[in-house]
Amino acid sequence: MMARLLNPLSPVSSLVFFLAMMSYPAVSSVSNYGIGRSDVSLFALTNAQLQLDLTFMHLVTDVIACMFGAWGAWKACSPRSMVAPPWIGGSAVRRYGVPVLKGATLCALAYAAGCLPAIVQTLRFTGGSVPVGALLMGMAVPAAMFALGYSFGTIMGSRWSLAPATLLPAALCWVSVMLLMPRTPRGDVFPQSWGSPLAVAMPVMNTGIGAEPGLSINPSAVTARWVLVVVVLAASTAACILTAHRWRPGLSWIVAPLAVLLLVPTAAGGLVAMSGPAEWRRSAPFTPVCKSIDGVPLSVCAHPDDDAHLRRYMRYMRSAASWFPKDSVEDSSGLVLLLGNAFTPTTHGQAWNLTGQGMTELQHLGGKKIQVMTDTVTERTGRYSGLENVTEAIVKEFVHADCAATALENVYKQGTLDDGASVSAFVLEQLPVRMSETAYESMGGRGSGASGMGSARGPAADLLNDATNEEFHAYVRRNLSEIERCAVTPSNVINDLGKNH
Amino acid sequence: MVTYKVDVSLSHVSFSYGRKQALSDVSLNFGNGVFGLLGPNGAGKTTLMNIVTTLSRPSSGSVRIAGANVLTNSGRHRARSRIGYLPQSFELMNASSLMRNVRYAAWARGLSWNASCDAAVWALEQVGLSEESRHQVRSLSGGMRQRAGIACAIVARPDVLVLDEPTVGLDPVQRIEVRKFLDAYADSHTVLVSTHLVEDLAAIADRVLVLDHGHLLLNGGMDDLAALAAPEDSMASPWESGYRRLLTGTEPLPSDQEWIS
Repeated sequence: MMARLLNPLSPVSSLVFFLAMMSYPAVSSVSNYGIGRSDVSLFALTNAQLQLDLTFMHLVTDVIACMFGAWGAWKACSPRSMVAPPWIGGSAVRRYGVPVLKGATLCALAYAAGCLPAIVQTLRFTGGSVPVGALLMGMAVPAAMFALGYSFGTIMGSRWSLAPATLLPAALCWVSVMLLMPRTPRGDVFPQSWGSPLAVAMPVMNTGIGAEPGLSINPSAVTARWVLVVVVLAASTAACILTAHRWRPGLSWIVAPLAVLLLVPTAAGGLVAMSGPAEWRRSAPFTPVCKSIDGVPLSVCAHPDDDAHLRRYMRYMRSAASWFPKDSVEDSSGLVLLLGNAFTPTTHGQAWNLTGQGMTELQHLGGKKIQVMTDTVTERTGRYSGLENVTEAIVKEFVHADCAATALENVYKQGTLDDGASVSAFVLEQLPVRMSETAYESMGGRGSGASGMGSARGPAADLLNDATNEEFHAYVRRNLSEIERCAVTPSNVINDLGKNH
Repeated sequence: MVTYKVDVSLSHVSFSYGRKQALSDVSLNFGNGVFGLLGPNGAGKTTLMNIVTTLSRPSSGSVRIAGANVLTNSGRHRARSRIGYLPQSFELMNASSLMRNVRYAAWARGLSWNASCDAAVWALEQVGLSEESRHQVRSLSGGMRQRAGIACAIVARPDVLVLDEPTVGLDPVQRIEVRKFLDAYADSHTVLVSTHLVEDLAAIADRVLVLDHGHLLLNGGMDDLAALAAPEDSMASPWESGYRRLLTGTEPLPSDQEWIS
């Protein structure tokens, strides 16, 4: 049974190709989804991101699938082969159609198997549904690549067919980037979209520069892509059959199979692209899930699918809130963190991409809203692309040290700390970094290690710089009201922090 | 007078590679039996076999195999399913077992997967490789590979079997075994064998065809070839001597056979 399934290649060769095809999505899964790490919820990406990943993690798999096809065809179907050369009789439809169909199916399944770790990991930590559409979109490409590779192997009939089989998938991806990149809109849709329906006909590629493929994964896109795969399989089989019927010593026979192989998929891809099934649509307005920190006017809201991010930011914010005594922030109107580009409105004139109920809940929370980058950097989220930007906003919201405003402007010009204003400015300059480092450390991570913010030196400045994050945290909690009033002198700092040194 | 059932018929066939004439006005008929093809390098043997196996289209003339005109697409397609061909050099799937190779060859030639098993067993038995059926092809000796190629060529039991140097690399015992098989197979099939080993043909060939520079010099029995031997040529067998003398002569000998269609 297995021998029949894997024909014409040997089980060992097939196994090598399968493992190679599965390795890239599996390794990407481990890398992107934190598999095997201590706090996996930190790395568990959202369902939306998983959907994107499933459509682009196939690139290396494509190359290997194409080589797999070329290898199998060259071994069995070259004119020098005694096994199934083009010049024998029998049904050419069966001789080429069956291996192409079988190999394409196996390649698609190998890709799906490679994606399983990512899918399982995300489902485990986000509670979303299985992204069938995205998976089908991703599986389609290796299947088509196998068919193209098989026809290369049949037409060329030598090991040299491995060269175009290696280059073709890479070239298609490169061409897709070149064709689609100029269409990158300046908008702030999630993900930042290439905005071309060609994406459904071309292999989708993550550029790694924040501009993600604008591929709308819906039933019509999935159907269009699989129709294209069927056309590619049929064209590849037809090219092989033409090779069998027309092959003779020399090259006079090669025009017809090559024409079918190149023109039919190109025309079908163009038609699919023109039909535009992959036009990007923003996600529907939603009601966010919001959580607040007890006793501190600090809330975090996220799309229901972004539970992992919500939990992560809640832990960050609990750490950040611990820097402020409750009585010091009671008067603040508060801060609401909106996680990710899901909040970006789909139409102009809308504040957020929320349902009426969602808007009501958000208004009920009050406070200032900031949209935090948790997926791709856009115009809306670029300002809060890191935790340090968020803690800086928290400090601005909760600490009101107007007396230190001038000193803060000169914090990198001062030689020593002279008065209460310079001390407050020196502390406030360090505070966001210290807060973000402490938040990261609370999750088992590490901060940036930045210290020595501000140019001042001398006993008081050195004590502040040399204090550990825990010491700095305790010092700020003890003296926050004095810092806000610029009432802490350098000698106070020496008396307070100097006791520990 | 010998009579044959005609399966392959070439009529006034010529073929040229550019300006070089590889075959010149060759007319031949093959029925059941072993037909030996002799000639020096460049004589046109491979070209003739390419035409018989439908791989090359003659520049002029007509070719019919089992009644099908192979110059038409449908005729060529029909003819190919009745031809088994072993080229001079060929490849197998080295990482697969011998059985897998031959079985896939049978399936590719139109047998069902289940029937391919019996066919492969039969073919391997004919070439004496039954015991090696589970071996990987890469582990086989040169002679075994040659016989494996023959097994692939015969696995679908073709009506017309065309073999280019089938006994190259075989030891004497293996050559005798292959000759025995071809002799038996030719009882009900057409076998066209190209070889430089005249004694192989002497053992089994019903007819011998000698080509030189694209011209058919002899179309007759092995006895006809032996009859041309020079009495003083004691270092060669009568057939080798006759063959040598034929090549150094100039006049093609007329065929005295009568053929039926």
